[in-house]
Amino acid sequence: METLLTRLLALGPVFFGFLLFAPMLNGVLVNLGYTQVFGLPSLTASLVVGGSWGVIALLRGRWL
Amino acid sequence: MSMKEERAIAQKYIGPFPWFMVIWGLGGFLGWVALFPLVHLGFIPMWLGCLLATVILCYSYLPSHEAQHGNIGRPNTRWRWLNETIGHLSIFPILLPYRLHRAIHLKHHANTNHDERDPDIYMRADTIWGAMYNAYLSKQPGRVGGLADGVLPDSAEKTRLVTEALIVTRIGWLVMAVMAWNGMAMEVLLLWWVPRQIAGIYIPVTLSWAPHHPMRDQGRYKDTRGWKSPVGTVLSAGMEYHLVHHLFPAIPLNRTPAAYRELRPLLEQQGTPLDGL
Repeated sequence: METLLTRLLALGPVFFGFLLFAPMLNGVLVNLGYTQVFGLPSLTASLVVGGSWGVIALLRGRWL
Repeated sequence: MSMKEERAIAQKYIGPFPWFMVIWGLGGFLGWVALFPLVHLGFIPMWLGCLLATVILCYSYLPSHEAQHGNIGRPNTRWRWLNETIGHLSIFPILLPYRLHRAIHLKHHANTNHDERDPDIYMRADTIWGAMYNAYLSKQPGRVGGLADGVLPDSAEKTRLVTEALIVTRIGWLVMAVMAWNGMAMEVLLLWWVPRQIAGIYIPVTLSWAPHHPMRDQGRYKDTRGWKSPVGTVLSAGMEYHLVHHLFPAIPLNRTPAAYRELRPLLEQQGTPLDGL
């Protein structure tokens, strides 16, 4: 149980990317009038960007 | 001036119930919470909400800091519950877990500027830009911060505090996510996430780096400096007088300038760096 919890906590940036960054990015896009990005609905595009950025941050150990 | 005289001066500034800090702590938290419906329902514009939230969050640490030192209510006294409530609530918006942070902060007082044991030593930098960069780095994935080896010894108490901290911070992130997925994404972004990022730089630079710079000397009269802030006392969160806090943590923040003026001859005698203050 403790190991599982530790592993889940280590995935924090990925959770952040999908669960928080994605809806915030979607909110910005919609506010700017972009309901579609490269043919994708803005929420799907936000999930792709947020999730990818979270994985990259996890691997690099840096957000920027 | 002897230690007895020093304590006699300090005693004059310790004691009265710190209403100022109580109003600041509770008012700041409740004001920040109120911004969400006020902005969402259009009573105030988003830009103004973002500005107010940023100010509140940048100053949110200070009432909790008083609570960390028991300045609102000592253990087993009438106002202890209020002390702990303000300690928890005022730093919830910046997602700092109160009780674990208190344990770590007290280690900062015990080991100020120590290379391994001071949890704030990561803020050591030659310039303010370097300090801002260090504050940014401390928030990157995988950084352990105050849980670095040598700060808090392993114990059942530490495990309990870390567990509580994980729960508190995850509750914060969960609240943010639930709000963001339920029509308040812009409010979460501009009233919470962005202000928290700014506060996450402002607080360590102002409270850790500036008053302890260059973070090399240790000892009662040497580990914290007096300094003249180019942006004034309020914008530097009263940290020009932080040396008084390190000498006497029981003196509330708003009374440190007056205590400093009276303690100044002693500090000069001891060779404390006062940098024009």
